[in-house]
Amino acid sequence: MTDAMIGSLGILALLVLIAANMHIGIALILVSYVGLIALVGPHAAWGMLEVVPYTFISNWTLSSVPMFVFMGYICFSADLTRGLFDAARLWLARLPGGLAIASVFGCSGFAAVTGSSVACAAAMGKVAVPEMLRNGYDARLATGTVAAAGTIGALIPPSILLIVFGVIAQVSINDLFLGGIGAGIATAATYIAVILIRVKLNPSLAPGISERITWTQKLVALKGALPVTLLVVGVLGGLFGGLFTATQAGAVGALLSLGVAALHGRLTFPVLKRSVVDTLTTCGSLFIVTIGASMLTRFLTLSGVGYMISDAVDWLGASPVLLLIVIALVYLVLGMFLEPIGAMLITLPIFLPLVANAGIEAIWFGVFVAKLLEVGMITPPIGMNVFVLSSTVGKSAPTDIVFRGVFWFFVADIILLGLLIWFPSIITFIPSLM
Amino acid sequence: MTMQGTAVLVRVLDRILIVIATIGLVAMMLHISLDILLSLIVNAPLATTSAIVTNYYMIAVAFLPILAAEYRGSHIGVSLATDRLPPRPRHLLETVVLAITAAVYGMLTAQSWQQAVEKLAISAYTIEQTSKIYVWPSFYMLPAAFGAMTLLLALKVVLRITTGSDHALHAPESAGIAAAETGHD
Amino acid sequence: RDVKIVVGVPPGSGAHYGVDAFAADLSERTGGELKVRVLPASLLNLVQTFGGMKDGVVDGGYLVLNYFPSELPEATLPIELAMLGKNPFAMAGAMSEYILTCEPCIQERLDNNQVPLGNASTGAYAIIGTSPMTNTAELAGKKIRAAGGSWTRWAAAVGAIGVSLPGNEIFEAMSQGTIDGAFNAPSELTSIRLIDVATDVTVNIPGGTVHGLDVMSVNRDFWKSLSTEERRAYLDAAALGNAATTWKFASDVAENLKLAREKGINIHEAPVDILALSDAAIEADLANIAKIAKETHGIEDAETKIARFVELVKKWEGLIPLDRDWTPEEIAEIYRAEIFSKIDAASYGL
Ligand code: NA
Ligand code: NA
Repeated sequence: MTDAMIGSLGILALLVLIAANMHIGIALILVSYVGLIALVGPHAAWGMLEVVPYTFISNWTLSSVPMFVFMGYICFSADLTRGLFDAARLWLARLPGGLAIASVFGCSGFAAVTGSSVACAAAMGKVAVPEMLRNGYDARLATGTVAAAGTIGALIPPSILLIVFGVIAQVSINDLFLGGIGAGIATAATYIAVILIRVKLNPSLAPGISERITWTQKLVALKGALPVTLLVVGVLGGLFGGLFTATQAGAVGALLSLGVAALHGRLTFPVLKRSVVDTLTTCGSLFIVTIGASMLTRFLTLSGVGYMISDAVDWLGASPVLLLIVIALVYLVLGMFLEPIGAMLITLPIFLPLVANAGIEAIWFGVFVAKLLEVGMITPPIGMNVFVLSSTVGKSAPTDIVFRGVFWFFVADIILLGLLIWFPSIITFIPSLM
Repeated sequence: MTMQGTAVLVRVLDRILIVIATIGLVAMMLHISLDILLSLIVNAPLATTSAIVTNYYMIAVAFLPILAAEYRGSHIGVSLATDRLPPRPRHLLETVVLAITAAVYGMLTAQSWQQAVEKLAISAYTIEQTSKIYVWPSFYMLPAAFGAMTLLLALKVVLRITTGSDHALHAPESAGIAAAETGHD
Repeated sequence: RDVKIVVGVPPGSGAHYGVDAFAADLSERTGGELKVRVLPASLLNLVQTFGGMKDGVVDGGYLVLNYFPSELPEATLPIELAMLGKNPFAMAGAMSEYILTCEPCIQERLDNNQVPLGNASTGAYAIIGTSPMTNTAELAGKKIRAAGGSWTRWAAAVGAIGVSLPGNEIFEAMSQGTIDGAFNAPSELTSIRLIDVATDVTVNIPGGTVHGLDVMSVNRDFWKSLSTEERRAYLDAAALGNAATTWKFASDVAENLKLAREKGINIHEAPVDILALSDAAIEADLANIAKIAKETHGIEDAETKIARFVELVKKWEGLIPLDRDWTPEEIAEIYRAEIFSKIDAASYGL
């Protein structure tokens, strides 16, 4: 059997194990280990199992991941995000679908304090969806909006996806973060357009709000948005202002959010405990996947199957657009089933050289990949944002309703992906300013 | 051991690992923040920050909560296909997958234990700037985390075979987003 | 037969250049019998290569020995003498000769199932920064990224502050102003894009080289599996691998400084009084290093060993002076004559 055949068999075995509901991290480790035995023998495979887990995790840049996760969970548990949505709600009440638009704003604001889209969807789901349902919004619109807008959480910095991309591709996390801002804003704008068009076409989706809103109410509400605004200014301001690096920003953010929560009298022991336990369980489940993916990368490198795939699509490199369309399709399919970090880690070793050969900028590509993977968060059958939203909201939002609700947002995402390819400056404009 | 005793054992293990990991998490936040503060205010960063963060806090935060994630059902998997199976084959498949997973964790335990013993034998250290920092103790966190996980999974398999359900070995309360993420069991 | 060598840094580096030169030479010396297959960082990164080579995942690989003080305490001693480095070809020669004629140095590698086959060196370190740093007034309080204790202590001696930071964050930190500069060989100007952010380079201080680069060492089982003739060929080709790696690092320094000038970056030389201060600090630090070698790394007879390495550096600075241009093959010939030809291929490392 040739090495490339062993590699291909390994990928096949991996798919079978994942379909059998084995934890993805363990499936990756098992397949890589058995594959390495076939390629380099039991002694070397055993050695690889020794080398990878510790050295992969013992990484300075990666240390920002638990910190950003912690920051997001503190904001979520201490309910610091409610004020953000309330302010947006009062200011945007007049617009068609104003509450839905306010949720997109809320998600965009919360995005700046959390690294993951799941946290973003859950936080806004808890606050915004009940409010929309209370006002007679269509359940599909209400839940679909928040599930989709949650994906902004992984685009606007901080972003765990972008950090992991930066670690693997060896590019600047700062530049990736700056690029993510453009993609995040573009996504928010697209979603708002979807809401406006849909509500214009079918006003019964989002009944207008009858209550009168005074300017005093509006101004008071702004005060409620202060805590998160403070955090955003402190963390992103300090980061881009040169007080600390992107890696250090997570720790500052976590500490600041604890401070802000305490200042608002929300830092109770249960809140603290829940933030910590949620952060740790997220880390416990996340890092084992990154270790597994790191093992698989080594197995694929040694088997040469990566080169085989690269060679097979190398002719596409002549046309970068065609190459990107193929890559986009691969990620959309993977995104249906896989968790984004795993999907990214499995594919980057193959795609990065191709993309570099085609002369595509790594920063742009990183943000593009993040956007693609985030689309996967709302596509069936496995759409993490949808699941999370459904379980935070409860029985008024079963997953099939939410999946139907995200459909038009998904369509808008596909259009936006095309726009990102056509106008790369949507992503690269902000980094080019710095 | 009784089923109740087993459940208590797992809960205690979970607590211990979470407490140590929490120390790592909070220390990481404070240590990095202090480093920045000292650098900004008195122009004297803590020289050993990155060595300690990467060799201690990260290891604690990434490995020790593996059991906590299993206990709260938040490991990442795809139950799409298995959800469609009839109850009996599904139960059987789940048990087999659990047993294989336990075996993989058992292997990781043995492996990381061997590595920890080797690191102790050479009193492994790292040099950051002008300071010597012993790192061998942190290597013991891996077999501790993997070993606890192996035990939990093995207990689950045994319970599934003897009583038909491992429900006793799930966290009683599930709160927060992390639990919600896979709240579709 | 394939020889798997992993190079855990991006293509274009001195290590890749050296391994490629080695590959061509080895293939020629063995009549195409031994063919090198270069594997990328996605297999093993710089830190993982040590364990990977030990366990036979690969036959050889690029190591920076500085990363493994507890596994290789003996090798750490000459590495700690970084600040002696002014001439990279001499440093690679001195380091190779030191290690390959030092019983405990070889033994500690054999204990890790590896066979040492010489070393390579970076170019001499400069100060790359965002302001002129040529004298104590300009250096006072400046935060400068230091790759190790030698540079940190040097920084302290001139009133600056050595900061630790992973290599991939230097650019970031310097462009944001989190640090004021970095001690690095000017070859890093393009390899980590410092050329886009630096405004000033001081080329003649602090000096110092990382001469614990190790591109040629192999797994011991692999070494045993070769015939005596193949081992002979491997040793002779390894001399070129070490020479070519060092040569590439050195020529990248010159190339990068040229690019920097074209880009309008100020290239400075520190004045004589600062050089005197620097030399005095480096001289005074030798006692410190002896203490570190004993207390931190548990090395016996540290003073004798330091004296020996200092001698070797002098000897090699005489053999390969920097007053003329050298080709990799010319340097390799000297390495062969002085070091590699004296190794017995029938018994070494078995
Ligand atoms: Na974010
Ligand atoms: Na999906």
